[in-house]
Amino acid sequence: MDSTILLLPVIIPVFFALVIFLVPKSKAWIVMTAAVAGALLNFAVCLTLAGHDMTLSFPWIAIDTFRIDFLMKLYNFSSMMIFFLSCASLLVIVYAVSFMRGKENLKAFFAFLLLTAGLADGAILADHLILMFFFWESILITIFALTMTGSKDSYKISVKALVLNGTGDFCMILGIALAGLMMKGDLSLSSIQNSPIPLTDFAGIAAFILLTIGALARAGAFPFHTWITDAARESPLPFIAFLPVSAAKLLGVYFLARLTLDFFDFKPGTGMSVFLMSIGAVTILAAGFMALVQKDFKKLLAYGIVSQTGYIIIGLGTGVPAGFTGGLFHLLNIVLSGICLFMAAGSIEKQAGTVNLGDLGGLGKKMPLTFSCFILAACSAAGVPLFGGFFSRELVFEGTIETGNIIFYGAAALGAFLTAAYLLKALHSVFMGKENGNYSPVKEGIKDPGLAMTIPMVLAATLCLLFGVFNQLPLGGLVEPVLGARLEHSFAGFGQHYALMLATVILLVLAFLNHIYGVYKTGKASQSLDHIGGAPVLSGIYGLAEKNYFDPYTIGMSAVNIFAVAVSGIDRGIDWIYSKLLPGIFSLASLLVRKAHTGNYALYLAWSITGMAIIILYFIFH
Amino acid sequence: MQALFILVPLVLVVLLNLPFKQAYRKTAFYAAVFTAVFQMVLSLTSGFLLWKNITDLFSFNFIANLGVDFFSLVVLFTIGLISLISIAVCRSSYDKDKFNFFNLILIVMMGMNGVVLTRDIFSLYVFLEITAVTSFILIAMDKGIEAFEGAFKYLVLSALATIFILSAIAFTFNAVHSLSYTDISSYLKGLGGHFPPQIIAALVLFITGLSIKAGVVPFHGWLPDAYMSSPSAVSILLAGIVTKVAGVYTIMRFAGDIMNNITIVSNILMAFGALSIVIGALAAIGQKDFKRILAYSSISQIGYIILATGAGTPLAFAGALLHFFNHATFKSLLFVNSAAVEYSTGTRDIDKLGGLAGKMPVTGVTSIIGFLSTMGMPPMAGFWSKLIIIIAVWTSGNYTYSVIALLASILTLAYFLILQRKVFFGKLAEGLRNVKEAGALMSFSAILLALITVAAGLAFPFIIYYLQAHGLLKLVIS
Repeated sequence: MDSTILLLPVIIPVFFALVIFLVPKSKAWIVMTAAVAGALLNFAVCLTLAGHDMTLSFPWIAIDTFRIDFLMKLYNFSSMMIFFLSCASLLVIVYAVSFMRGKENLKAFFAFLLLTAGLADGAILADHLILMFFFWESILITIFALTMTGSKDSYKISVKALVLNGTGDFCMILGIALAGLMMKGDLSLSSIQNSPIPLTDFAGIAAFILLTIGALARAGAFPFHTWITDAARESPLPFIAFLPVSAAKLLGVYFLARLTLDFFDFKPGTGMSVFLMSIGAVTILAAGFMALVQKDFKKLLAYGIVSQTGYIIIGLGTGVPAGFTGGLFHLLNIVLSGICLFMAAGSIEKQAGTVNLGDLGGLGKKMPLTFSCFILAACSAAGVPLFGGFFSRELVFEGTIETGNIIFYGAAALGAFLTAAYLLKALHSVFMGKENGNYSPVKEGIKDPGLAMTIPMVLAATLCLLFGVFNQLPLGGLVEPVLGARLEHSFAGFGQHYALMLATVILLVLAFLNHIYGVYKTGKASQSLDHIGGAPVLSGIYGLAEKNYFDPYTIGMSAVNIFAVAVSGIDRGIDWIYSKLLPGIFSLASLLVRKAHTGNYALYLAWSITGMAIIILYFIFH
Repeated sequence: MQALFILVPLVLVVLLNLPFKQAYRKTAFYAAVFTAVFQMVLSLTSGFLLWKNITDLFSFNFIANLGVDFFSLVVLFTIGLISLISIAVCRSSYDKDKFNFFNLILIVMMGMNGVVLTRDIFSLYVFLEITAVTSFILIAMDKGIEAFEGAFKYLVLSALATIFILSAIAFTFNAVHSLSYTDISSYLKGLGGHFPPQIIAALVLFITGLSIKAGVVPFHGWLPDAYMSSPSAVSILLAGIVTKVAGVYTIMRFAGDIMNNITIVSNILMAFGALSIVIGALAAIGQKDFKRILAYSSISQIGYIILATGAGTPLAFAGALLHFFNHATFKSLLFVNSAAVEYSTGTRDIDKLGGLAGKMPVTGVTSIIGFLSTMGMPPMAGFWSKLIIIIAVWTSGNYTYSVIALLASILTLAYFLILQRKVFFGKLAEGLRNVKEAGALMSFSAILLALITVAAGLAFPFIIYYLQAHGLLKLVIS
């Protein structure tokens, strides 16, 4: 194969996006056909490319001694990522064809979705940091545009998404600058890989932290997650299933994995390893606790997905083969289960007209297929044995034990309990129990959605199970080749650490018992976790978070204890930094500058004369 | 060939003002469009041999010595492009006497072309004056109090600049006994860094004078008022090209060609450039007037060009040249957008606007493209020029300036978001229900500039590759 074929995964989606832009608004069917065709073609190309190794290189920018080559590289890792991304975009687009029918922003939605897919392919294939950043940063525009396709109030969320992601990208370009300094200007990823940057001096550590922040912001880890949970409520659902759940996550984790694996001399047990694992642990717990108290189905899932990202970060942060393999495998599992869970939520929204947990109930009988898919995906996300999520999470646990930091195992295990608890709550209050009349269903009565929506859902759910039962397929075929020679033995199969597995099973059973106790106590599935609010240490969290949910300005007012403030306050507090503090500082500086421009002409003349005086003084004393 | 750039507008102005001009007043528009298009074509095709032989018939040196290199060709092309846009906007939005406007634009084009082509500092002074005087009249064309105030502010500071430049020329002539760039350059080289007092005086006066013309902080007092109070078509011309040719181009020539990038001048330019970047962006945040935001944003962007000029390496100069062209296109685009908004709604106060994206889709989308380019977001053209400037300043060893240039992008983001939210998004403001696009010519201008911005961004590496392959970028510093 000629290596220019590497351009196709970028060109095809972008081309179809442009076609969609040119189609008149009234021709919705052309838009949808083009979107599906683009996704299918992209999938076919990525499938063809799978398993090949090739590089594409031609001179790109050269001015004086400054030179950037157009470098792209396809090898096991990047080909796995673009393949997985093309699968995710195909599933979401097929689902969206039915879901988005008749929606106002249909055209912009499909066009920007394909554009994002193409740009993400470019960022993954790029073998030069500047080229990668070109694609990476372009995605910022499509994120902004896609969040705008939601309701009329989406602008605020778009701005938040732009600011949070922009902050990450900004750190990233600083990191690239530092890396460039250390690599003496050679920013080709292959050459960095050949001589990884040492993490011993200040510049190396600073570059690592800055680049990591960039990757984490895109992956939607704590504290860059707040736009995702906001968008979950306002934006069209396929957008959530595509961008924060799959494309951005794949991209962010891909870059993070390359950072720890290839670009830096990243060793287990070092400070940077603990730094990464801490971020992972905080992400798991902070988002997990927030997920427990959500009343909105989609918001609960969004916090859940953010929480799951924490496992990947811990896994990659361990720096040992087990943790790394587990982290990457967990990425595949949560993308699949995340897509499936959100699609199920979308079907519920479409059929029942609401996603408020308190208003739903007993839908399992009416939507058996959605129900089954939800169970399969939830089992994978909660780490029930035999499902994909179970094996990946066990590997992460194994990695944390191997590094000797038991505290991170503790955080991850507590996260497992939380995941099971909130998923049980969602499952019970939506699908089981008595039917609740508080919603306005579609006229024909609630039933499973049409084929276009069920097929992608069923496919994703099936894969959730298959990835567990036949885990040598994804593990041996996709994830483990990435590590190459660094892998001592394969992790496929059922695993060896029976004690850890037993602990996981016990946690799941505890979560189940806890749920039953909660339902028994409150009589309502949607309040099954409210009894935790009565526990002495956690007592403040729920009251606070719930008030916070209805009225963010009361944060801190009803703080009962420090822990409660920490968990809930940080979530909103980071929000405050972005939306109040930083703009405040800039506005103040801006006000001072504006006040200085009085319009008084004598003043302007005086400035000019001062400027001239400065030049004179500089000349005299130089 | 060079003489044609000055002769064509000159001859057309004379023809348009012969007796009996009433009979053919209407042709003024076509004369102006012809000149602008002719200039674009001439600057693009100057490399073709046959064409060169024809145009060289006009190579008699009727004035001073003219010279042309790649840098001047880019600037000449930009002059043609922005003048064309300004003419189109004037045609569709200016409701007073257009005949005068078209005449004045021909004269100002001639002045700018002269500034770009001339190779001695006295002719430079003459053409700068032609440009400046025409600009005063253009700003004051509306004859309102505000227009006169803006023109007056420009006039006074510009007069100051004129005095400085003229004195600098006198000092220089006294020392060098010649006024051509090459003579001055080789004289300064011969001094080896030890300047006699009158050369120092000349340098100080020259830098100050040109900085006033460019609107660099702290010499920028005239700029926001002049941009704001002039008719839309004139704002486009002023912000897009006049200030840039009269101030920025001359500074680039001065620093590169005459001063050979000596450290002392470089340091001054970089300091003022960085100051402009920050002050301009800070002042743009929180302004209420659409055009005023753009005016301060111009100060900030010009700061990038001056900063790169100061850094002085070939890469930095290439970045400055590219940003020169990019800023001309995307800032003119934004001024066209503001003109469209003002024409359609009758106001520029962003507090009174809102929700226009649905009513004016072309203006809404193209303004986003313009701002993304201002911020330096890929894949727009502004990304590349800013990236090259930041890298060049970094590799020239001025890390602080490089980081300042990078951080200022955040401020750009801030005023972009404020403006977009207040003007194009959110709820439709009261009384704007029947707003429509401002007409075909205005939309055409916006789309043309937006296309150039996107295309230059996407094709940027290939453009650079082409230029490099033909050895053109080396000409940036002759």
